Amino acid sequence: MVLTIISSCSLFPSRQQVEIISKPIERSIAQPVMPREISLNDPYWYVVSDKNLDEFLAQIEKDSGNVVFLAMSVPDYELMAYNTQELKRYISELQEVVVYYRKVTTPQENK
Amino acid sequence: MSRILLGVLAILGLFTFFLWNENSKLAELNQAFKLRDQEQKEAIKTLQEDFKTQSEGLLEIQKRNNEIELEMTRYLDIFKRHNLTKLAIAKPNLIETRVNNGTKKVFDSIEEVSRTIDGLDDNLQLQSVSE
Repeated sequence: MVLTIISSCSLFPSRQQVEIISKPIERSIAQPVMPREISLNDPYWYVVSDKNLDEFLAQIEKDSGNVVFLAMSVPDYELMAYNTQELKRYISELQEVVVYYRKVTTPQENK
Repeated sequence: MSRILLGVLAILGLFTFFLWNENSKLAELNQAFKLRDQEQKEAIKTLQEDFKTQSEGLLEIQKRNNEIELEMTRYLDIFKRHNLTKLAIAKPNLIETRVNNGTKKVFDSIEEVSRTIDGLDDNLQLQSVSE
């Protein structure tokens, strides 16, 4: 009796054990649908010099019925090639950024 | 005598209740600290994983960008190494073939890049492709 009084019934378990589990909330970011791949058609370049000028003019007249064409000098062609390479570089680098963002915003279990 | 004993017992009982009460409070506090510790550990783990993924991704971007820049320089170097005007005057047919092949190659590579981007969502299409 003395033991019961001095321990104030603490020997009897009166509290229920509550298990609390905490878990960080994962952000859910909806991934956009990627743009459809591009389909490019190749233009045909004619290289014309004194050696084949007549042949070229005849070919143009035969193909389109008139002697009409858009001409570009060699330095301008080089400029065009540079611009195309710049565009390709930009698209490629942007692709890497898209891949990165997609990777870091995709939930862990889906990786 | 019995009154004194009862008094002592009552004091002991009250003191024990006080101790039990304190113990309960400390047990709750301990559980709260454990929970906070667990939360912090989880948060640190998540942050570390995120940091690792982001660092690896940024390094990969830097590496790929260097490769892309090098590839571009390599292509454009052709114009520096060769006098295209002289070559076109001397061998127009040969240069015509080279120029058209080069254009096809660069357009194909751009198409390939766009295919990679499109493939990121497992080729899900926004609109139907009409050929």
